[in-house]
Amino acid sequence: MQEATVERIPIAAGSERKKRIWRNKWLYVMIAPGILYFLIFKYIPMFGLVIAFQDFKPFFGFTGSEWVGFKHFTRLFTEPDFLNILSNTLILFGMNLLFYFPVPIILALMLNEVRINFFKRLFQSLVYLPHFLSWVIIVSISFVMLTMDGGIINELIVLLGFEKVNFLLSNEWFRPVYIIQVIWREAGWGTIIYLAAIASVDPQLYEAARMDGASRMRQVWHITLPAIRSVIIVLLILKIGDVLELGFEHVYLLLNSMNRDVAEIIDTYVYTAGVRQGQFSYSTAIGFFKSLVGLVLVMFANYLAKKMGEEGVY
Amino acid sequence: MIQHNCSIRTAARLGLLLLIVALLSGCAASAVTSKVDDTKPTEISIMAPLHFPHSPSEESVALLEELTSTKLELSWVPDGIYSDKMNTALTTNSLKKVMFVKYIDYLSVKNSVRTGAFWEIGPYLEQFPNLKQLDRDILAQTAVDDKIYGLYTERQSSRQGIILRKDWLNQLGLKEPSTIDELYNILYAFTYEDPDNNGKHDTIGLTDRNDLIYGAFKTLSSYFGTPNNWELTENSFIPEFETQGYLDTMNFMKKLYDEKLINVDFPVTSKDVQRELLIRGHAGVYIGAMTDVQRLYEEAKQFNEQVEFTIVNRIEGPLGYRIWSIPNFNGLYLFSKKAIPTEEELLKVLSFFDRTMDADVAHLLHYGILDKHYYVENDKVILPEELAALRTKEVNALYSLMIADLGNDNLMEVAQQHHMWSYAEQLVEDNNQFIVPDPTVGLESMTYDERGVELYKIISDATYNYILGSINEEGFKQQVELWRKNGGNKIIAEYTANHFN
Repeated sequence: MQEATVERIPIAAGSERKKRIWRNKWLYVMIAPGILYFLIFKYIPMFGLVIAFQDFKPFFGFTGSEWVGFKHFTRLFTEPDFLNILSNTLILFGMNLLFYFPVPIILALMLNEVRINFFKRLFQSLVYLPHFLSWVIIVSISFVMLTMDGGIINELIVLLGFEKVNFLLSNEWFRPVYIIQVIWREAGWGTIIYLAAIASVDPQLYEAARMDGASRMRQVWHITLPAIRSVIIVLLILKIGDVLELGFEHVYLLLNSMNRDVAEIIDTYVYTAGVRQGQFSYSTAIGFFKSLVGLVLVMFANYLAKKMGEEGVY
Repeated sequence: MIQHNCSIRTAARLGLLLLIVALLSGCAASAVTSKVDDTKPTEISIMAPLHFPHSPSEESVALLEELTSTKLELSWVPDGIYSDKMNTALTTNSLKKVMFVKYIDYLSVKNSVRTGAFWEIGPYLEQFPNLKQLDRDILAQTAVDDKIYGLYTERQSSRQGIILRKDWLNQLGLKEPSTIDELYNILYAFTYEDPDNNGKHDTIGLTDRNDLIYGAFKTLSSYFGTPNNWELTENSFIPEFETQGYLDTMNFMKKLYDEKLINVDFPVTSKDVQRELLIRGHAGVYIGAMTDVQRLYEEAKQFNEQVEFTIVNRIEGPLGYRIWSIPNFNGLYLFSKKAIPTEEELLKVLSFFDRTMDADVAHLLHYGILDKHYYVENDKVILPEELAALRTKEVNALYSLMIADLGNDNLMEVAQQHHMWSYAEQLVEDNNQFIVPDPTVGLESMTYDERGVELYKIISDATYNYILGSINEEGFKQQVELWRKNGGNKIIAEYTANHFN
């Protein structure tokens, strides 16, 4: 660690730099696997994007396929369903941000207030658990519960004297069901980072506040929340970067003929229109477009964060 | 975690890796094969679907290798994920020498076939004693641009029919249906007249699933006189969903739905759940493949000793008896040009398949090892019930490798079979008397190959929406119009041009 401060001296010549690298060789060795990972799995595959501008045929490969310019993008933007699919994707994303994003924060704050350590641990483990179930399982369980042919929730509704609700086969219920499933599966897992951030808050602050007669709610509001504010912002920006990653598997499992008007998102469209019909170039073009939208949103969010005096992610 | 669902990038990434691996192994493989001489067994790698929990035993495969003097490298891929695996292999150009392509995936593979990824085998077939006897009609059905690329696995034209609870019919004093009205009355009685005699309203008539083709819908539509996908008129093609029969079928289904004679969640019901409803005695009628009756019966008996099933294939509609049919091939074995570099090697691989049609090898693939899995008596094969589990475990998977078995005279017949099963086979045979073929089989439409799946989605969505009452006839017609505008008109034009020229 001391070396690090020594290295602040301005760099002069190339030999100086070599020496510096040599001195820190173990740090470089340690970072190598990470760099390799990004090179091999993130950067090199990016060259595959060229097929978005080709009429890609596997047999001819990257080099032999015909170049077609922006043909696939033109097709995407002129597709009659395009606007509908894009808005479905954005609405689902917006709901995710609005309803899902705050839940782990609230949950983390609540967990933090649990006094008995045993219960705290127990609840923590319990809320993590759903994260390890696959979407297939979660959607199947919901199906069994929500079906109109003897599903427990509908039976309950009838018992209370109401009409059966068609949760699975309606446009209105797709989004609520989707959001509830996301919250159920991911909220617990999402608390991990917040709990870590909360743990690093100086206990003296709380002691001082208690001396001044601050209630628990006041402590949360004035100490805990400001302390984890930067973490919240960073996670929010990252989340926005995920804008169009709504979980193909999840949505595809919920999708059916009766809710396609609201449930078809870019990912599922790529699958039916592109992958299943072997149109790899078209699929890639859509994926490319999606990533661009994500990038623009992240840059915007980061810019906003910096304006508000936060660190941002870069 | 951020990249979790980025399927495209993941695929590209995987693809690249596989490509590298494929290139490396490709080099290695070609180095080896070039040195092969005739005394050595031919090395053949095959990718085939696995329909059973177990891949075939080593003993069976060893015997197969010995009989055909080959060294086989069999990649068994579970049927459920076969299409994905095949697509990956195709995308990354890392094909085995021989690859099975399912009929339903053939559409998307055709594009690769056109780029020359596979050997055209048509001209070679004459050299082989068995392969030259393959059915010309079926081969023609598999052709791409009039060229033959694959060896087909065979299946019956139409297994569609109705499976009903016989004991429920008896209980209510009803007889098996022979018209659509009688079928409706049975569905009604099964729902509202307490067929299981337990005093509770806990049964429904029909159990259906989220499949308009292999579920009940298409079979019912045949009864109503709908053409099979397309109707050929004097100068053009009409899609089935513009016919009166299709509309009548939708109205019939709508009636079933409105009167709750069918499981109301059928648009999202899986096949397993659909079967479960029949097996556990909640529903009394199942429309689909009649040959399923044996397994349904065995499973239902575990819940209710008294259960009895019957099957019906003749339902008379406005146009008499009709049933839709599928092309007679289940899938094709295609031969990769990259993995099989020379014509000489291709001939060796083809001779393996030729050999599989000889009696000894065909019996091994179909029944197993003589005196271990089956016996022979009076020139008939006997498949003892107590060896069924052993056969499932050790040999049944090999059946995937059998090409053209229905038309293969070398195969001995099976003597005694289950009553239900043989009755179902009999009715499947009977279906041949009134099958309705798809007039576009063998015709080419580039638009259909490219956008068919996407376009079909418009129609299937509209059909469900109509049945469930979200749209009316006017709305349905608008969707059909959308189908025409988005490519349907082009498909019609292409089929018409292809057929009438």
